Amino acid sequence: MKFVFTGCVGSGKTEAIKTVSDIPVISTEAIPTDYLSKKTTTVALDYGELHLSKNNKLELYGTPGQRRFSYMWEILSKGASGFIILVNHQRENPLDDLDMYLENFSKYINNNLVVGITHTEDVIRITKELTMYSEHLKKYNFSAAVLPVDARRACNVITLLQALTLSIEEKL
Amino acid sequence: MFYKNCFYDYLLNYALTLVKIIFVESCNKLDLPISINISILLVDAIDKKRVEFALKMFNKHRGVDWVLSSTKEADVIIVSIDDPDSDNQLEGLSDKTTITYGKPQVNYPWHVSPEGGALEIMSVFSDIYTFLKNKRSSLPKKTANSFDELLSFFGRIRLHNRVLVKFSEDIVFIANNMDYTVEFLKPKNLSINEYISILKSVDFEASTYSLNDIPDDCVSTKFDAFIFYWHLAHEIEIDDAGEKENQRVYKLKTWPALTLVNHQEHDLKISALMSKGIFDIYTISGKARCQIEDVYKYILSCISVDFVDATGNSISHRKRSLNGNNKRSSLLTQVLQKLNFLKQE
Repeated sequence: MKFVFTGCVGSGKTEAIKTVSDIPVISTEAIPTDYLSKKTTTVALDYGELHLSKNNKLELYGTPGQRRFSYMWEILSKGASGFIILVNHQRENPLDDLDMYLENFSKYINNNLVVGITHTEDVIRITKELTMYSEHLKKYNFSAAVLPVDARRACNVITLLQALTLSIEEKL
Repeated sequence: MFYKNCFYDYLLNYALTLVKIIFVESCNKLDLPISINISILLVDAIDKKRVEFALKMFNKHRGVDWVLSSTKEADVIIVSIDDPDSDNQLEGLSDKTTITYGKPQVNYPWHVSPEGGALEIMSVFSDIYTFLKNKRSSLPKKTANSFDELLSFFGRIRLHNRVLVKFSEDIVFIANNMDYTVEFLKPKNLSINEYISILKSVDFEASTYSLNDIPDDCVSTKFDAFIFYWHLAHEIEIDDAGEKENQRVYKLKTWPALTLVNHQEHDLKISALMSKGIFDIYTISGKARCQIEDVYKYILSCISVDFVDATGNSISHRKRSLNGNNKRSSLLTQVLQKLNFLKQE
């Protein structure tokens, strides 16, 4: 079983996978050539695992954020059971970011989606902000969970994964 | 055995006569019947029968209920003071009215002796009945803690963009539905938990006021509305809903921000369920495998911030939901088990 984390550069995809993975995360980090506030960025994929039983595991894939690596998006999306889009709330147009990933991943998502809003630490009125994202998802006919997430906190990432798993289960 | 039966017959006739003479008249003076739970902790079978018989007589002629119950649920317990285990039996039951059976005891106000017979037993019951009835009528009544009333209160807040809410004289807040915040005005320097404990102590008797009532020189503290209402709803003891509310169906508009608050797995289950359909309280409780009260609390905290809509009753929705597919994928179950395990670590 496979879940895919996607979202813009610096939204916390690599960190989220690292936070919960049972194995050391396999990363393809490189020094960015474009102007970014971070030292390294994912260029191919991140890979982590949650061990479920002797024969079963949950595979966690992280995509590169930049559009120029979008060839990897398609490769990683094949066979995925669920998608987690992380949105950096501090970016100038976070809804535009969300649009880009919804449009590019919509043919794979099949409504098996949760949206994590990161970098919300200083936002007091988070409820209003979440409503904005939820309303936006409805334009794409998605009824996904939108949860504020600190990718460094395991309990936050786990809650996000639980929400996704329960949403998939509810459809069975 | 023969002597035992004779004893019962004798007791029956004796008690019947006494009841007819004494209680039919005196009990008419007592009004408003109440139900009293009683637990009889007498080891001796005959003693126990005597007490049970006296109770039945009392119920029959008074039209009220002394109901035999477990010790935990009992208002009144009867213990034999001659029983060496009686002290152990009374441990942790100091809040209960205790009747001692046996030798008179100074520490216990209510007492019956085996020699006193049915007359004495019923006389004590009558006194306790009056005592408990008076005690209960003096207790403050909960006024707004039923699900129906709380739902109506939260619904009223949601209807206005800015509304001033008062709990007793001390707790005042402005619910601002434009930016989903709750802004407290006085008292100063209290944490959210202290506010909530005060709200709890005033039994959630709230009134809404116009914004012209805002006090001068107030100190305000702002909270995200969902976080506040989530904590509040989980602190309040919520009584059962009326039949009308139980038939209502609910629609999830936005997932609650569960990562910001303490939550249980069933909160996630309820959210996932409601994001896929419109259901009534009982269906949600059944499908999410959780208590009705957990559903009440979830619904209340979500409805206050417009994350859930209460819609009219829909029988077709209920039927459809009850026929839902309950298949569970074993792999998904494993994923959920693993995630729960990680969360508890």
